[in-house]
Amino acid sequence: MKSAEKGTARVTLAMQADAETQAKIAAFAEQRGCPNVRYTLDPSILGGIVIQIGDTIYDGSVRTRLETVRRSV
Amino acid sequence: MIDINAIGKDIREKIANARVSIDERACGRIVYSGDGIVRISGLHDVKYNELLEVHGGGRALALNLEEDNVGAVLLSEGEGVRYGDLVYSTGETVHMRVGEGLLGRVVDPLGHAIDGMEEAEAAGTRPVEFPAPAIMDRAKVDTPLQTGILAIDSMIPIGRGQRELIIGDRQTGKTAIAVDTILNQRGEDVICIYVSIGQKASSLAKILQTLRNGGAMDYTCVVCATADDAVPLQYIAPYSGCALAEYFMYKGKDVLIVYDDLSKHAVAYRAMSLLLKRPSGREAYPGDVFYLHSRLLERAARLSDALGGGSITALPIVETLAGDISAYIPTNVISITDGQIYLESELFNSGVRPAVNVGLSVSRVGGSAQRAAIRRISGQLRVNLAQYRELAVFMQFGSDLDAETQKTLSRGVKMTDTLKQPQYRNYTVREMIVLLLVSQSDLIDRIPAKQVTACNAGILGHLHANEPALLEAIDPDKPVFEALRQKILAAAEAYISSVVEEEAAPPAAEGAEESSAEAV
Amino acid sequence: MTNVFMQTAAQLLANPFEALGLEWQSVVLHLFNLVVLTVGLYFLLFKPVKKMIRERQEKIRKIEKDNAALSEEVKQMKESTEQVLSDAKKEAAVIRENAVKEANRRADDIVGRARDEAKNMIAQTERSLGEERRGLQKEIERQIADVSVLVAEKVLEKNIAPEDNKKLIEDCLTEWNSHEKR
Repeated sequence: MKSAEKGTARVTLAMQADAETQAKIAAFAEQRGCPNVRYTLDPSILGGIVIQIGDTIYDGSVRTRLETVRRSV
Repeated sequence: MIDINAIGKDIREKIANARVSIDERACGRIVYSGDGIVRISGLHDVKYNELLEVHGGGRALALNLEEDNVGAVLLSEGEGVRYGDLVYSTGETVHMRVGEGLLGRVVDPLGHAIDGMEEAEAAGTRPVEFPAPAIMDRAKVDTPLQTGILAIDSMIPIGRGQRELIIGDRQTGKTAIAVDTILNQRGEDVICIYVSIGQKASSLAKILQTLRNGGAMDYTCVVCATADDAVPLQYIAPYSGCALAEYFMYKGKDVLIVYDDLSKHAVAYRAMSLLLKRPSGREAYPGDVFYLHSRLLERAARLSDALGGGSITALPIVETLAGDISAYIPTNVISITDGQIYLESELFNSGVRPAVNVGLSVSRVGGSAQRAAIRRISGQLRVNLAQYRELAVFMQFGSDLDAETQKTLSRGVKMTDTLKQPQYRNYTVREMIVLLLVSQSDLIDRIPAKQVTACNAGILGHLHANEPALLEAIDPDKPVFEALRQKILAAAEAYISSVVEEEAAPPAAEGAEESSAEAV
Repeated sequence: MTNVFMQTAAQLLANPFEALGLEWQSVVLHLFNLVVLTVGLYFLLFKPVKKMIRERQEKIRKIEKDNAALSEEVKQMKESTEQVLSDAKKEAAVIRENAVKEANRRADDIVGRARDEAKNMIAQTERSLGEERRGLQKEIERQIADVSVLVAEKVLEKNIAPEDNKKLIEDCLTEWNSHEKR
């Protein structure tokens, strides 16, 4: 990881989130030691949220869920 | 033939059972991919030998943990792996599926069936890398493992829990000895595991056919990584075979495991290490190639009775180039194992099959495991053969030979002939005792030269047909009594005389042959 | 007539020699002669003849004895020949029996091996058939899953509502938070 990105949570969403959700995301990141949040919009995740903080990835996207179901067949 | 409803039901069930988790996972990104090697940045808490999951379904094995990145080898094809792809850690090392259900099956190094049948039913999994039994957990090797090959069982006996190397050039019958040994375990309550590393799929198919036809698949599992499988799979194949063997050993069973062959394994490891940019040493092998094989072969053991008394007997195979046993891998494995069976292409080509070089082959621990009856007779055999070989060298100078020398020479030739054995014709212990008794008595002088093989087969046939009680009377675990010995020799003599009389004037023919041999 | 006869008989009784015209001396001489002849003959003729006869008899008896022994021997030989013959027959029967047994065993072996091989071949064919079937089934399942996911993606792409999305995101966050606390 580049040092500049240290302390930055990278959040991927399918569509712009409202202020309330953004606040919750920020709080979530703050708890894990990331004061900064950088948002990316990616419609291909269909829905849900993907947060990457350092080496850990939190994947709650609809695409991943679909993918999991498909792979389990 | 295909039930559409069943398919629908199947899918519905699978979807219902699918674990849709929105979990957090440690991940890294691929910063380099090539030749089946990936470098991953991130993944700071990954362990050595940990299994990684590449985004998109591929798997990799973490082997180099460096300051700012992790080197891993892909277990599957490298296609579809791109720069920047996410790689997740799984928190577990490579595991092999184990269980009785794997017997009779052909599986890959992870325990998945590749013989076209349904997935084998596994009782569980075992880590592929596992520490060898400790010193106090081991017992003495004292039970014989019969190979059914006269030359080996009489002079290079193998005990259960021993590691005996089979070494020789290509095309000298190394695999044949291993396969014969597996076939001979029928009805012996020994589980066999044949690990094929980097072999051609065609030769493996032939071996499988042989094992199936011999009825050996009932107690055998074949673990294979063929030459076209990914290099890391070839690298872990012997360890996963050993994990399966350990499963049975810790249950108190006796297991025979064949690694065919470890030189290809070393080559696979060398390729992997070079691509991972590890420093290379002699013959470009990495520094830990000795440890590679020693940690594998140390796992073969005879467990103490407290642990169930199971055993793993390992028969590693190593291929030499032009008979050079002082190359790096052969010397390494020779020093690790408890003895070696050395096969020579010269002997093989001159018709001595199995082409065992008795002088260079040893068994360091098997002697105490040899059947008592055979041990008593075979001690002489070794001495006599050594004497013959010494004399045979002198004979090449063509000097005049006295009668005594000639006798030793002709006996030596006949003894060598006795040790010849066609493939897939395994002798029982009792048959071996009879053949050894005959070859060590004066009777051997009466068998015409060049008919020893036929005559031996005839004697055994004669005993089976007409004197089955005599064969039954032999107790392999006690020295053969003089009275019984005389009876056996008498029966053999009866057969030999009946054969020799049928021949027209055999003494003259024999004499002529001997004199011609002398002339040479 | 009767008187003449009577007269002669009386004469004979009174003087037998005279009556017959013999003198007693010659009678004595004859007697003596007879005795000498008898004794001489006894020693010269009877004894050797008797001896010869005795020897003959002895010889005959011996020959007879020899004959008996010989016939005994012949009988014995005959018996032993029969014994040997029957023994040989028995042995031949045993050998034949063994050979037949061995041949049967080998035949069974060969038949068994052939049967095993046939069984293996059938199993192999069944295996490959099963393999094909399973492969086809898997392929169908995969296709179905792929298509379903594709349909789901297409539908979700357009139709996912911002409220649903928000709820989804918040659910995720709460779940991760609860994980962390545990």
